[in-house]
Amino acid sequence: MNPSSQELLIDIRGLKTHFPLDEGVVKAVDGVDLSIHRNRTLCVVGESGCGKSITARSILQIVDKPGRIVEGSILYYRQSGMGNVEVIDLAALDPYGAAIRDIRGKEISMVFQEPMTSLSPVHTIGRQITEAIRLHMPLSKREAKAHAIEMLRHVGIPQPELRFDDYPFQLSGGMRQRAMIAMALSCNPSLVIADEPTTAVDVTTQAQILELLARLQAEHGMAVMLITHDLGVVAETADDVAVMYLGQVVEFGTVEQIFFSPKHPYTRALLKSIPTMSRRAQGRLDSIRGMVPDPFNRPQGCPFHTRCEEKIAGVCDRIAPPRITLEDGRDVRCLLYAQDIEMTPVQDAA
Amino acid sequence: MLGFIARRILYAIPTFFAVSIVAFIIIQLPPGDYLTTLVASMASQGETVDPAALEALRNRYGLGEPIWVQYFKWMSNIFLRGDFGQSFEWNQPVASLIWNRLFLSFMLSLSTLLFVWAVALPVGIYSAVRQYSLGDYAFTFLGFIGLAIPNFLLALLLMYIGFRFFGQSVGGLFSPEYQEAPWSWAKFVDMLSHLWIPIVIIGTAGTASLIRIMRANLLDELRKPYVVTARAKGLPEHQVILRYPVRVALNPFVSTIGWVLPALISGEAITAIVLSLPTTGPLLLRALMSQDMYLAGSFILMLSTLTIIGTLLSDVLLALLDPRIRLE
Repeated sequence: MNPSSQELLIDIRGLKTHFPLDEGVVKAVDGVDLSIHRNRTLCVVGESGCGKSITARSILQIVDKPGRIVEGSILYYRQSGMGNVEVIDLAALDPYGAAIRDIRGKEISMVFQEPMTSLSPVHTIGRQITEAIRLHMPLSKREAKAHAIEMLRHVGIPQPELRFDDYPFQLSGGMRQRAMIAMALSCNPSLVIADEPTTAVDVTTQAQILELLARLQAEHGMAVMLITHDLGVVAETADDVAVMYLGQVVEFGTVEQIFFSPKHPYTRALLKSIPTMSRRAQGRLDSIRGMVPDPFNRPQGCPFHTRCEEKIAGVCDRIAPPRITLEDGRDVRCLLYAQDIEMTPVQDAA
Repeated sequence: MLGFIARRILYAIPTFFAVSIVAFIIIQLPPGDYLTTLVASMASQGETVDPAALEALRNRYGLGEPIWVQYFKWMSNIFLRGDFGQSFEWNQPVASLIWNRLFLSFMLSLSTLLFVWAVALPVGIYSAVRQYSLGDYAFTFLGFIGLAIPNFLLALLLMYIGFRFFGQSVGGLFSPEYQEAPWSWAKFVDMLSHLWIPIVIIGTAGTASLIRIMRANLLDELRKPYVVTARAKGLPEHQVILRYPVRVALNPFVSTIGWVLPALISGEAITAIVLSLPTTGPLLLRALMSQDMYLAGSFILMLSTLTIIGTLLSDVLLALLDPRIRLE
C-alpha cells in the first residue's frame, strides 16, 4: 500500500463508534483502520450491518443518536494552500461545532443511498443545492443559482434551468441521484463519500451513475469513498478496497490484491459467493456458512471465527487478531498471518 | 395553484348546501315547534292560550307549511335579502342578535388560535428535539392535565384566582363601565385585559393536543434521511431542524385549522356560560332549548360555514406548504 504518504487524505485508526441502547451496547464500528488517498477510489464492502455506513458517517460526525465515537482517530490531511498540510482529528471535533460544519459539504461531502428520502420533499432541488453553495462559498443568490445550474448540467441533467425549480418527486430516480451528486460536488470537495448510491436505482441507471462518479472524480481530482455490497461494482471502480466484517476492517489492500490474492478467509468466502457466468448453472453457489452474530453478543477472539473455514481451534476464539501489515503492503486482521503472536492452542484441561 | 383553489371553492358550495339542509332538519327533529314550547311554558305558569291566536301565530311564522317550503323560504331570504329570519323568543331579527356576538366569538376564537399556535409550536419542537428530557416530561405532564381538566372547572378556578389575587372583575368580556359603551380604544384595552382568561381556558385543551401532534410528527420527521443530508451539508443544527423536519411536520399543524376554528367557537359555549361571556355559545344553547328555530338554525349555519371556510383555508395553506399536494 501507501502509494505515497503525501497523498494521504484520511487516516482512520482504531475507530470505535458505539450505540449505547437499553438492551446493551451495539459496537457498530469496533476498531476500524483504513486510509483514503487523494484522487483514488476506496470501496468499502461487507454484509449489511457490518458498520460500513457508520464508519462513513463517523468521518463527518453525523452518526445518529445515541451513537457516538468512543475511541480512535480520524486524521484529515487538509491542504491549506502553498503545499502545506494541516492535520485535523475529525473524531475529536464537536459534532455540533463550527469546525466540523465548515468541513461538511465543503471539503467532505456525502451522497446518500435513497435520493427520494434523502432530499427534502418540500424544497426544490435548486433550493437545496444553492443552500449548500451559499453556506460555503461567498456567492450572491444569483451567482449561486448560476453555479447550481452549472452543476446540474455537469452531472448530465437535461434542461437544468427548468429542473432547478423541480421538486424531488418530479424527477426520476436516476435524475434525483444526479441532483444529489450535483449537490455533493457543488463546493468542489476533496472527498466524496457515496453510501450505496446505486442501491435504489435500476441496473442501467446504476451503470450511468457509477460512470458519472468516475468521470467527475477524474475531472475534479477528488477522492471517493464508495460504500457498496456489490463486488461487481468494486471490481469496476475501486483503486483500494476495505473489506469489513462486524465493525472491523478485516482486509485492506489494492483492488488487485483483494481480487487476485485474497488473504483473509472472509474475503475469500465473499469472493467465492459471487455467481460467475463461466460456472454455468451447475453446482450450488457457495455461501458463507452461518449467520452474522448477534450485535449484542459478539464472539470472543476473532469476530469471524464462528463462520471461518480455516480457524485455529483454541486460538481464534481466544485472541482478537491485531492489524497485520503484509509484505505487499496490505493490512489483514487474521491470526493465520501472525508471526509474533503466541500461537500455541490452549488445551482444555479435560 | 389557482386551479387548485378554484376547484376547492367549487367543492365548498355543494358542501355548504348539504350542511344547511342537515342543519335545518336537525332543528326540526325534536317533536313540536316553538309554539308548543310556548304553550307548555305558559301552561306551566297557569295561563291558557287562545287556539285562534295560536293559529294566527302559526300562519305568521309559516310553521304550518311543509318543511321544504320553510327551508326554501329561509334560504332565499338569506341570499336575497340577508334576512336570517325572526327570533321568536327575542322578537327581533336574527341578524341584529347574532352579528355582534359572532364578532366577539370570532375575535375570541382567533386570539385563542394564535395563543394555541404560539405555545404549541415551540413547545412541540422542544419536546421532540429533546425527547425524554426533563422538560419534555414536564410539558407532557402539563399537556395531559390540560387535556383532562374540563373547561368549566378551569374557568371556575381561573375566575377564583383572578378575583381573589388580582382583584379583577371576572366574567364577561368588559368591565361594567364599558358594558354598554360604544367601541373606543379604552374599551378595546379593557377587552384585552379580560380576554386572557377565556383564551387560556378555551386554548388549554387545544394547545395540549397540538403539542402532542407536533411532537409526534416531528419525531417521525427527525429520523428521515433528508435531515442527515441537511446536516451533512454543514448547516448549523438549529437551521437543520427548523428548515427541514419542522417545515414538513407543519402540515398536520395547518390542516388542524379546519376543525380548530369551529371547535373553538362551539367549544367555548360551556366556558362562555360559566364566565358569562357575550359570545354566541350561551345564545345558541338557549335558542336550541326553546326551539327558537331561525335563531338556532342561523347559528348552526354560521358555524358550519366557518367549518367549511376553515377547511378551505387549511387546504389552501397546505397546498402552499407542500408542493406534493399542489402539483399532485
